[in-house]
Amino acid sequence: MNAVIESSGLTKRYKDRLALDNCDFRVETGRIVGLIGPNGAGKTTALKAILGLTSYDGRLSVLGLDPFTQRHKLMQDVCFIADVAILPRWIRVREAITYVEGVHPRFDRAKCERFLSATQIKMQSRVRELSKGMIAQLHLALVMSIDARLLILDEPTLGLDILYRRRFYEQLLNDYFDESRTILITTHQVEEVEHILTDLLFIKDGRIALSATMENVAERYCQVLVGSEKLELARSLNPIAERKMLGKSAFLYDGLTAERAQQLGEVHQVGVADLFVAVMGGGVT
Amino acid sequence: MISSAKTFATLIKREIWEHRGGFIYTPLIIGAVLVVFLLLGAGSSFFWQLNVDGAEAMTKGALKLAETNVSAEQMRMGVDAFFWGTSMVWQSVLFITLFFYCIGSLYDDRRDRSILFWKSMPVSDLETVISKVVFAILVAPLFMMVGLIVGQIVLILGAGLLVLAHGGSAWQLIWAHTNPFPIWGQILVAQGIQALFLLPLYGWLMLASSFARGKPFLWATLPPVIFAIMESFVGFTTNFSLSKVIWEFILRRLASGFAPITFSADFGEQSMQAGFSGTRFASSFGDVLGRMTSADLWLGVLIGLGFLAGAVYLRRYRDESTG
Repeated sequence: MNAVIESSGLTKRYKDRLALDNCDFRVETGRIVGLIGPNGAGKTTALKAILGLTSYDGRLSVLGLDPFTQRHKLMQDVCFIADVAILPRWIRVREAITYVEGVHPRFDRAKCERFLSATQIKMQSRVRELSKGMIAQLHLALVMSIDARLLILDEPTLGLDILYRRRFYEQLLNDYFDESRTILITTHQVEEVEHILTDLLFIKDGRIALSATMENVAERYCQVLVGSEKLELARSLNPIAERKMLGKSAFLYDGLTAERAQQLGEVHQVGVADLFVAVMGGGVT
Repeated sequence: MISSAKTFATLIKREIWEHRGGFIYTPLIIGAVLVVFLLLGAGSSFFWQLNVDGAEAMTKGALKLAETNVSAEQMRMGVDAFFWGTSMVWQSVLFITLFFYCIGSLYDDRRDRSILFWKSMPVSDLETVISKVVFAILVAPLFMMVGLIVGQIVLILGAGLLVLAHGGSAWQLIWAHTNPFPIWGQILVAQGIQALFLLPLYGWLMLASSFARGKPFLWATLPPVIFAIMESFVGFTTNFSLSKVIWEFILRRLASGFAPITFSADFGEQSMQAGFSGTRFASSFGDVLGRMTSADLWLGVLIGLGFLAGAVYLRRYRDESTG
């Protein structure tokens, strides 16, 4: 498979601290990768490095280009939505479309107008007159009409209500994504993206804490609901997390065999949020 | 580099969309305001005639006197002065608007974070900055010229009609001597040279705009003022003359911004103290073009390009994030 993004030893140092500390990761073509980490873990810095918005040490290649020095060329193939508030507020919808059409060789105006006709957004409206949800729809319509290879979404649905959030991801999956494209998403709302992700990248204190495909995760990790009679046994098998749930205890294991797990109790798939808490929280609570 | 003419045209359109009010509507509004002043003047003179016995006869007499006693040459000079004089309104407003345009040009989109949208497009920072400079030195003055020409035509027609209304001969007094085309041509050429002359100023403002993390106006204006205070201390002891050269360089440009056609004026030390009293109107293309030969102009262009290169560099390479 082709790597869309490849980094080794990626490091970014700000004056007083290390935002990225020797990160190695690889993103393959046709994947939807969730870059997940607590605030200040280095998510945004990593995205900025990938987009060529910041300098860095170490090696980083995006679509075979060095993002910092070849940024202009890179942006022909990369699209980017930072949170909902970055469309200029003075611009009219029609002007925004004409602008992207004028500067982006791979923009399809008809497609964009089709996307927008399914919304309440009017061509002559200014961005400042639109609701947050509509601005996100507009930005998504603009970006989905660009035939790009890599789409980067940084908290794309922050501050939107649940209807818009659902629709945003549904549209992304149904009308945009295919094997030739790659999507990299950061978000706090893990539950909403976990069913569309194919890969996970956890980042903690500037380091990659976990890099795995969802299949890997399903194979490697399991969650077992254990009754009180087997608690001691369960604890002796090195769970990476334990928490109370409906009168039972839920244990999270890394690499426990299926037989062993079934002996302990009811086996469940691990949710990304639980896994995140377990990996980031640093052990049994 | 400029990837295509289409991209560049789009960037210029972008500037026009964002600044319609300041650069397209304002020149037209100036014309409308001047017409309103003309009407107010006319209204008050009619009012005066209605209320003062013999006033109408006086006006008529004055117009007759003018028709018989003022030479065609004097008439022509008067009408020309009217064109030059009113053009100053448009040109100074343009200068003030451009001053603030430059200060906001590379700052506003960083403040509202829309820079992330602009930077998500395949447009280089060099192209962005060039489009803003071209807008300031070429596109905005052209829009001003349209407003100026429309406004002056309405004004000169209106002035003639007023004379007619008072029973004078509009043709003999005004219209026969109206030949604005050389004046408009000279203003247009002067605007072009003005753009080169002011490049260091625009460049400096855009550099400050690109540099400032907040308060770009202060970043643009305070350094020269602090420099002035410091040099006045130094000046007491050493009679250091370099700063005087620099000040003349700066002040001539600021003054020229308000009165672009006065570049041939002598801005010696005395006239600066006297509030630029040494200005005079340019009267020929020769005067206008004469400025092209001055070393000061081209030195300024070089300095301006240096500032602009700094503005591009900051926009391209500086990392604004705090974490």
